[in-house]
Amino acid sequence: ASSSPALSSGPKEVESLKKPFTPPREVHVQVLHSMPPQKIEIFKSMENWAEENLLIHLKDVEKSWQPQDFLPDPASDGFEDQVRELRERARELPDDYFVVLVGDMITEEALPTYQTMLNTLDGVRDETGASPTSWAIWTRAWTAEENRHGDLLNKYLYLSGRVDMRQIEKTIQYLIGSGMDPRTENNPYLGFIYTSFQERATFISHGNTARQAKEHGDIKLAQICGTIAADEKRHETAYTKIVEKLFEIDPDGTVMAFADMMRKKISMPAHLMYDGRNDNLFDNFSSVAQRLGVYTAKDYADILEFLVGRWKIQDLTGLSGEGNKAQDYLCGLAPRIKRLDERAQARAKKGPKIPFSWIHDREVQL
Amino acid sequence: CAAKAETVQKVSDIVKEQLALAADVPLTAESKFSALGADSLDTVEIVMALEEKFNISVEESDAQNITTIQEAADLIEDLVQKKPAAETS
Repeated sequence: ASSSPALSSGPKEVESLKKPFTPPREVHVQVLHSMPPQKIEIFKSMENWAEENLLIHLKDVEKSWQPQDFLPDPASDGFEDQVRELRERARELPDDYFVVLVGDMITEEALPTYQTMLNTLDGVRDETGASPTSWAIWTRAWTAEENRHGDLLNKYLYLSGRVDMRQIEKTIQYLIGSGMDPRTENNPYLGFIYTSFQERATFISHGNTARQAKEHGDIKLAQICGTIAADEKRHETAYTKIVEKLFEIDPDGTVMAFADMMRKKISMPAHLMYDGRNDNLFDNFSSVAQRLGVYTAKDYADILEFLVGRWKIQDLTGLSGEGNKAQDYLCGLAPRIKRLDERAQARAKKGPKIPFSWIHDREVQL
Repeated sequence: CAAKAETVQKVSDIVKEQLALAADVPLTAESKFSALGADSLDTVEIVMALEEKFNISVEESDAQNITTIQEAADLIEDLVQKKPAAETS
């Protein structure tokens, strides 16, 4: 960044300026194209590998579940009774649970942003919208699978009668308008490390909302969240396989990308959320998720620990000096985060109760 | 009032150890942790090491405001002074 952009082969930086319709929250300096152009060839040469190893993790549409499988059938005579039963079960769920479920749903509903994010990545982007490359096929089919998640949760929450749909819909519109700032720099190394982490994070959080729905006696909602969690697990398997392959081809570049991503911290996909009222909406939602144990700082450290083990970071050999530093950093990071989290938890003061517009301004403990 | 040179020295030693800095890296009271390569994790770890060394407890909100060796030393002396009163209350 110190030399002239025209001469520099390194990342290019674009100043972020405040304009209308830009995110209500500050985004980082935008770094572009940090992967050296010659490495694009690595991804081109992985085309066949991706066809045989990646696309097998997609599910045939004919064999896929659809939101309608879990919802009252509006064409059936029993529709009204089924809706009544759904609402009776939803009555047993506490407000704080709904705040977390709504936040998860809004995160899923910002799917256009995530497809965009995948298509920012050099060497793997869908260049036409109907590109026949394995990478593009994966991204479109992945998006199509994911699209069912927000759809299902949205319809469930609408029918539950417990939430302010208009406020939720506004939050979704704000969020998609804001985008996200994952700092993946058009770099597929960074991009696939990010998605590996995120798919596991969503697997964990949907798994936890499933478990808690069951504890509150709502088996149907538990099934909904559990089914979504199972998709996320399958997607995690696919993305971690890509990165595993990158470690095989380019261990030094991949370990440095992993360390870089962790130094920048993995931001949650919906970190720019806003409902038109609360400037700390994402932090407040995150606090409730942490308190309920749906997604916690310890989960973050556990995911990191899992990925370090999954990609056998400890066993990497023949790295450069910088690569060795990245390896040491990654192997020591999860225990450090856990230690700090224990300190923070030990000192955590009880948070205030604040109103959430998503549930008609009813107050929830942070 | 500014912290004693002795406290500043003790803090410098801990920062040096925590960030695994080479012996010849020059440290002054004004040295910023971030300029020494510390990220937010390192900063909290420095605070934790200081708590242990001086037998004090730093509030979470204060911990985040410490950016230099001088600021750390000032806060430590402040906390050490307050300590007896805090213990009898």
